[in-house]
Amino acid sequence: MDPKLTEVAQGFERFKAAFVRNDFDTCTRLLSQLKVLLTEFRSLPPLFEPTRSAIQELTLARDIYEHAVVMSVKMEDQEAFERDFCQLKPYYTDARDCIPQSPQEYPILGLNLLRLLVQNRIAEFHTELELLSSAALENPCIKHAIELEQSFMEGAYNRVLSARQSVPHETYVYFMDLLAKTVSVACCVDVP
Amino acid sequence: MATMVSSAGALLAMLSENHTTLKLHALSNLNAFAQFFWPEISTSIPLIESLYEDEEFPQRELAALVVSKVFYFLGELNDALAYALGAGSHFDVTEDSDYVRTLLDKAIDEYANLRKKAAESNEEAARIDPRLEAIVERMLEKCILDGKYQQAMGIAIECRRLDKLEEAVMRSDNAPGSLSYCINISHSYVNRREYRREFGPDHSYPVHGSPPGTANNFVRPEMRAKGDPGQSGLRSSLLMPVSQISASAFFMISGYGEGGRCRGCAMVEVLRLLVRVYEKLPSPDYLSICQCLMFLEEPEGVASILEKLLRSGKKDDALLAFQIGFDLVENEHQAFLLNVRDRLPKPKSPPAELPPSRDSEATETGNATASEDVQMADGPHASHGNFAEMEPAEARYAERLTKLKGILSGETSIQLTLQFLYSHNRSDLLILKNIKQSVEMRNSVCHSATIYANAIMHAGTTVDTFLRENLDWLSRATNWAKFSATAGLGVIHKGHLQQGRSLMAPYLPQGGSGSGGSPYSEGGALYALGLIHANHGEGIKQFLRDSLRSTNVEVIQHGACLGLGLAALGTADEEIFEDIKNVLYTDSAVAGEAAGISMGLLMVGTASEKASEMLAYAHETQHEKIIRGLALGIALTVYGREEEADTLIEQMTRDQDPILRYGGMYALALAYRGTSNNKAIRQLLHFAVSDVSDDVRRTAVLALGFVLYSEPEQTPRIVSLLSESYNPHVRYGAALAVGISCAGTGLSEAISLLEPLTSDVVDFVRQGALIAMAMVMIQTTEAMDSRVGAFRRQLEKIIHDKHEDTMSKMGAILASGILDAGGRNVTIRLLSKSKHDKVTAVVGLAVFSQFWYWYPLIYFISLSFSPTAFIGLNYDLKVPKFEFLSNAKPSLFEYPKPTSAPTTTSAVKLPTAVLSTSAKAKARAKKEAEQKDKSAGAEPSASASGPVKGKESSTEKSGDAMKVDNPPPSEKKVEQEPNFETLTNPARVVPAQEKFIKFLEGSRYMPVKLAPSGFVLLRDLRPEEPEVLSLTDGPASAGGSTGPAQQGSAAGNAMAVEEEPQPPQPFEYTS
Repeated sequence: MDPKLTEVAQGFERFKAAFVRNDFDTCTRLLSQLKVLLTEFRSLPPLFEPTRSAIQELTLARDIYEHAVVMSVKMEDQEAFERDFCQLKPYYTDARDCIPQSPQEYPILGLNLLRLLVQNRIAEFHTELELLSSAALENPCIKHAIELEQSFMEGAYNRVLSARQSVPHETYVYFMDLLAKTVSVACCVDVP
Repeated sequence: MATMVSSAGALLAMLSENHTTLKLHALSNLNAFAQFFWPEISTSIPLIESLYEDEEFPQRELAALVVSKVFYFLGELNDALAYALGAGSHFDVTEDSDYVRTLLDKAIDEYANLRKKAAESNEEAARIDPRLEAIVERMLEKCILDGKYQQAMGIAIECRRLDKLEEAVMRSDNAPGSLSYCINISHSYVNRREYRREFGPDHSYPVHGSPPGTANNFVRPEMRAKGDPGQSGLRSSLLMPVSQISASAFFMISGYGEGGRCRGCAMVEVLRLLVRVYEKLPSPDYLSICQCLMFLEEPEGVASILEKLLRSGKKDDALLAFQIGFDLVENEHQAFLLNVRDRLPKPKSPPAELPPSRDSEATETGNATASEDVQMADGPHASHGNFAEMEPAEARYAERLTKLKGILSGETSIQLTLQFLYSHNRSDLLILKNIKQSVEMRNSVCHSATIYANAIMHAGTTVDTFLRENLDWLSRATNWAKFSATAGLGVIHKGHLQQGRSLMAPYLPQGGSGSGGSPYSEGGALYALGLIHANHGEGIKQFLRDSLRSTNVEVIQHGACLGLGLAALGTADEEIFEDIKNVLYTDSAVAGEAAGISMGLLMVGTASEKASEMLAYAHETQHEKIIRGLALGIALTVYGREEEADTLIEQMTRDQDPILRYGGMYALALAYRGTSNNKAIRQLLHFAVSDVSDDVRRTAVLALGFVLYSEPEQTPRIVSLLSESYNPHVRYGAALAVGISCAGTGLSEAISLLEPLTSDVVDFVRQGALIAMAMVMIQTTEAMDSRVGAFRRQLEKIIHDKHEDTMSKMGAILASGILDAGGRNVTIRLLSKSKHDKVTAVVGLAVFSQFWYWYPLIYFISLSFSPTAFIGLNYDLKVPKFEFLSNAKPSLFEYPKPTSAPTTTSAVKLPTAVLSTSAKAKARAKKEAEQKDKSAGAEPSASASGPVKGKESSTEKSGDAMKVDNPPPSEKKVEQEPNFETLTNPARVVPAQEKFIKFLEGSRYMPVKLAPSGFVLLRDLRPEEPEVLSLTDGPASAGGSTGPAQQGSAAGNAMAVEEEPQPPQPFEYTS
């Protein structure tokens, strides 16, 4: 195995360990190093050079970015979320044919949809939606976000609030809370 | 599997990461993908800009590059350039992309602009961004390293970096080639020095406004051809932009000479530099240097080079000097040539001889002309006598000098041309005979048109058989017709300098008494003398002046004025001017008209004060003829002066008198001749559609032809709308404009434009179109354009048609004359081979176009004829036998076939009864014969006529089987036309043929200059063998009955006098 790849893999292991410990300072530090290391792989976007270990590298890089996204949610850092998600996205879209689909893909996509909803970027929300396949739309994580948006638009705030109880993934809670906060404010205005 | 990123989102996100390495990574990737993702990146420009402005950031330049690229794609070239400058070394001039090309172009433009401004305001170039300068220099360096010297030179000239220009030339692997390229550019830019101002700075670089992909449409094709000759082989990262650059160089350069004051001053700089570089080369190309020096008007330089070459011990150097002489003569820059000649130092003769020779020198420079004849005959003679006393080197120099002076005076080339035209005369007398028979005797217009046609057809050939054979017919010419018939002799004997006078003697006014001859033939004879000596009239001027003074018959005055004007063309001789002015002030219409033109001829291109004098008199006089003559005369004085003439042109075009406005059109035409100046074209087009006088409108359109003759391809396009005007005068003008500017080119578009006009509803339009068509088609063979043959038949038909108008008949007769002009060996050429305008030719055509008012002026067209010949000369300036190849089918360029005698068609053809059986048999036989022909694989050759062959094979068929067994293969082979032709010196080489000329390896002679036509000196590689000379078949070789002039020059002059054709016996009119 390529020594560089090993190095990244080991770093990633350490990151995961710290991640489990919820040691976010270490995580951030390690993540930053990992990202720099990743820039040296020529098989990653945007170059996509078909090197021998391309699949492993791509998978590993995707894994790292997925963790980065999840971590940013845990740290409740929306900017970092957006940044990491943008960097992760090519692995879902452009590299789809090279590597097997990630189990985390739909939850993270749903998470992103949720974020757009929270940030009230409805236009982008729908843009993202258009890009999804019909299979993806069936996925509970995605469906959740879609239903939320519909309820939100209809003004069925009770459904929005109750949806918090049925989150498909634990990471969703953060955004759901934010959403709930918004809705309750809206309700207060609505019901004088 | 190629996986592509679909979005730059990831990279842009990475830009906002904290870690610098990540930012760098993102930037470098963005840079690589900018051309795909610039729309996405453009939203993040502020972010990248902030990176560029961040002093801490290690790769600010990379950020600048990315921003520059995005701005480029957004079409913001100024911002793009600003950031590209910030990108420093990251902006890679060697990169092959639209972005780099466009920005380089922009940078060079910007730089050139700044340089120009700096030069104009005389400030130091401190304001120029050093980064910009660096980029341009890098570009130059790159061009030089890549071997694209032409581009480098173009940019250097454009940016006024003469140092770089010199560097480029010196470092190029083919310095002489580069130099000649430079010369080409600089010549073109003198012509276009107005261009930039015309287009204005916004339009000269239309590239800027257009989207990146379509950068190069503006460059006009012929410019591109000029800009990168021989570059087609370069795959070239830079071919496109650089051809554009060189084209814009033309524009740029034109910005140098603001106003007439510094006539292409930058061009002068460039040429000076070129001369300097040339001299540095190990083997200087003196031919080109001298061309440069001529443009610089530096006769001293030329003279010193010539002297050096003459004094050299090697024969080759002398040959080179002679070649330079011929090349200079071709440009017809008379004043310059005289200057060079006078500056050539005399051979050192013993001191006793010195004072008298000094004396003659002094008188010569003082008078410049009058003593010329004496000097030519006398000087060589004297020096010849002293040869024995001199050292051998001096003697050799003296001998060579004599030859060179002969060349520079133009006499050698005239002489040789005359011999060539005489020996190669292929004019078809039958055509004339047919014309003569078919025109009505009593119709004097057609009668004299036939005489004109004869003169033009035999121009310069000295063949006057037709006149001799038809003396009775000729005698019907009375009054002015007689004048032009006599003058026609001058055209026929054009260039017969030595014997011109004795030839015309019988018709010339006899001293004092004025007995005998009619004034018309006397006047015509004086005019003829002028035509014979056109532009080389030093020997005859005095005589013409005397004739002018001693008469007060206006017809003779008319002839003498025209003759003097022709002989003293462009000399600005004050005394002659005074004489002619006296004639003008007699206020006689006929003489005054000629005087007006003559004054113009005398003052061609001098822009002297005399013009206002003439203008004043034009306002004073009542005679339209005089006003017209003066108007044309004034126009002639401003020949080639461009902006300098603007005041005068303004004055004339605003005049109340339409005739003066008409002169103004000519002034515009001649002042801006061959420049394609947009201002002039615009003005002319304006007058062509808005003036109230038809004459002015006609002339305005016609004048376009003169302005555009350096770019004949443009003319048909520009006048095509005018040629469909409702106004017949405008149509006529359009026809002649095309005729003038496309003369001798055989240009297909020109012919297509003229074709419908030859069957116009208005008679004079037909006339003009026929003449113009003949001018375009001169020296074009039917093999090259089938329409030539059709045109010849059309002419014949018009001439024979009883119901045709006199006007178009006359046009057709003249057209047949022009079509076969000069024994089918001349063409109309307004530009010399070095792209210099030929003054005499242009002036000739300008006055010729006056024939609308005055038919005798038709003869002026003979001034524009130049022989289509290759004449090789040896050291003795004789024509040795020398063969070379023309790599094309002979039929492509051969002389038109002589017309066959008209068969008597009077016999009514009876319909023959044809039996069906015999018809069938015939058809079968024919078919078989055809098949046989095909199987034999023989193409009917141009010379063998089809029917004969058909008959041949059919007889063969009908013959017995044994005959069929051995078909004549040898005969077939002969019929197969070869793909080349061996030409023998001196040979006819028509302009279209020039590119096929090849010189044979291993032949005895080697041309000094590889020119396909014109006068070429030949180096003798086997001097020990006896030389075989050609061109000795003149009839005079045996006879010694020559005039005193000939004997005088025969003494020491190497003018090959004995080869000259004998003067024909004079004949008398029986009036």
